Amino acid sequence: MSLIIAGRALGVVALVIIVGAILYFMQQAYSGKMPTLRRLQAVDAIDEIIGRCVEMGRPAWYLMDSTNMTTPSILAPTVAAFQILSHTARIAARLGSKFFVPVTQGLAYSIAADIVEEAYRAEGKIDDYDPFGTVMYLPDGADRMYIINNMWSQRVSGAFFLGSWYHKAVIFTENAARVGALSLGGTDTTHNIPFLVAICDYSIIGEELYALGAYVSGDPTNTASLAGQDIGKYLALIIIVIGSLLATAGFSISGIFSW
Amino acid sequence: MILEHFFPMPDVVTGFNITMRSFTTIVSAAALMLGVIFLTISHARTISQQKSGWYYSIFYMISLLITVGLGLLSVRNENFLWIYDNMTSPTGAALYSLTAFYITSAAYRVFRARNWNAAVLLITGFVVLAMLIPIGGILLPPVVPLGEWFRSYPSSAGFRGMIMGTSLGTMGLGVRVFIGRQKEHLGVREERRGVE
Amino acid sequence: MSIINKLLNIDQRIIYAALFIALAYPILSPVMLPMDIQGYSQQAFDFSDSIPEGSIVIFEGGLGAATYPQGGPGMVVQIYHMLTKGVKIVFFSIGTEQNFWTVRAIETALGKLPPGTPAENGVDWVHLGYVAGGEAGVGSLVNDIRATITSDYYGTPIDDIPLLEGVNDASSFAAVLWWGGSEGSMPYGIRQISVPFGIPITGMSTTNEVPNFSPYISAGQLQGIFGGVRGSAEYEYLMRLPGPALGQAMATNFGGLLWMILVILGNVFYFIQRTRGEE
Repeated sequence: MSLIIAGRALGVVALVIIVGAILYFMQQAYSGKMPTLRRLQAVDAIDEIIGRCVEMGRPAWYLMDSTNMTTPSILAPTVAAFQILSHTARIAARLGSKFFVPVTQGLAYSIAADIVEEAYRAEGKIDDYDPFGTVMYLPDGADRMYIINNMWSQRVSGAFFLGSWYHKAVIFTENAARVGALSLGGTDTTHNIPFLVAICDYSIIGEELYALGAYVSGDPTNTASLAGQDIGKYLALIIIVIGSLLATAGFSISGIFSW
Repeated sequence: MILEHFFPMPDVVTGFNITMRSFTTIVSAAALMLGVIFLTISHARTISQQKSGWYYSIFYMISLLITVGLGLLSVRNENFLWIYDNMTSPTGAALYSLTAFYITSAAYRVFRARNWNAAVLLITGFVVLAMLIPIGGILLPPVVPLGEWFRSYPSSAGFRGMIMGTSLGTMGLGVRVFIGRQKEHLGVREERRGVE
Repeated sequence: MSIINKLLNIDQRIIYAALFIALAYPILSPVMLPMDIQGYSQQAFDFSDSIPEGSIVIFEGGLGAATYPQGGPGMVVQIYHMLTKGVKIVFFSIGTEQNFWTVRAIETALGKLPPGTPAENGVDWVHLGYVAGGEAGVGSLVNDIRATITSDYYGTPIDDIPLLEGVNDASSFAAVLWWGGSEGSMPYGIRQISVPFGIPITGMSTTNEVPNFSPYISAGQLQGIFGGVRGSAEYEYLMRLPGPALGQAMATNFGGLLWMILVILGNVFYFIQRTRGEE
């Protein structure tokens, strides 16, 4: 019996390198050596959107679309969206903005409700939190009409579209734009990123969703882990360049994928 | 489960992982029940406080009782399937079709050549759409090879980059969550209150 | 406000009404317009047609209520194609709602088969039902069927199903057919079945997800794809089995043309506004 399942040796090596790099940079940050990272515009956008909602006296909405946490491809962006929700809810509570979070999954609803309640409690504004109104469970399917109608009736002035977005991305972002809301959108579902970029006022693309979650955590070691992810990108670049050169020169490298 | 993907594992480990995976079904079902309970409480409050639109909440309660009742008899019950075939699925399909209307409205509003970037987006989007509609290749033959080139090369390259970036982001998030450095998805904990 | 400004900020309900008319007319009063076959669809069809008679394929049914109108007709044609070629099918679904619609597609396809076509449950096809766990569940299923499920959708124990005699993992399958709808789950099939077992894969996704899978097609990991309602219509056309998808595809002609006209008009009005120096 081989030590590693056939065809997965490269995966193990890549996993070890990338996870190792992430842990290395986190450890460096813990020791006080922070890597230089560019600031995400979205961090300031959250403050701007909530601030606008406070000035106009109209609510800010935080939508996450698909939050089926038993599906692995949806779990990661949903967790990232929860992390950003924690930060956004605290700002909304602190500034006194009306805040609304519709959720279409029971498990995600209970987590989101807990996060938002904790945020309001941390800011000393627990009286502003409505247990069944601030975070609301809407059955998947029925949520569309509720959100479209209520965006108009409440004249939403700020909206966040973060998480794992599918076909509802266009519906809700376009509706929010028509209502006149300032919006921030971000998802990791690649085919919906163009919609969010085109329609939202601010957008975060793909991995920036996870990076934003690390930024807003306020923990430097989390932010430093982003440098470790960049090591993965450099590794991919090197493999692409080497592979392209070898393929151009006529060498077949498909054999290494069966290691 | 990560180790199982890369290394041959003894049957006891594989069996344990299969059991753990089956728990997701149980958790999903429990989450569904949780959602129904919360929604029912919310509608009950709306009815008791006679908030705006409270009569719709009565429709919800009646629909819930009928559907759950029939479902408990049997999920292959004729009436239950009738409700699904003639109410739930046509409504779901109709709501899904909203996307087409909103895309058209968004395209009219957003697809304008305000600058060079927007112009490139406009032209490539136009060409690819013309390729995708069945008659596009008949009306404008050049759009087919051009659109397929856009889709197979620049678009694929961009998507590959995004897929790689997203995968790395997921790994970074996984590491931070696994080692317990990032807990915001669990709410604001005691040690963070009053820090900011 | 000038007329140009009013047109640029037109009430979206007028756009919706125009689109509704453009889509409804060809459905209510069918119009057949010429259609050419996309490269991805032709590739997927050619691959499906090349599967040898007597092979067994694994078929993921991932269409739900929302996506069945666009993918369902094509899925019916795929099942018809395989059974009329003498290819045996092992169905499964990774969603509960999708499981139900897979049964619907199987029943529709069985109803369309020419008389005498072998299509006996348990012999020529079997539906394993819902497999929990998403990608992990797929991995578990294709590595050890009997450890993952004990009976098929209809309750027949696995060991009593003739088609699965001697079949316990994906090495017995000649191809993977993944009709994933809008699940975005096709990479599960690529990662868990196609690459580890070296089995070619094709399938269907909604139109907006096709660019997602272009990298896999370019890399040769995916043998073409039927994209959305047009993909289903093309499959119906190639199989000479007209169905609902062809009618819907004709509707997309008019909807697409309206979209193009609106985008052109929007830009014309925008440039007029700019040359006039208006805001």
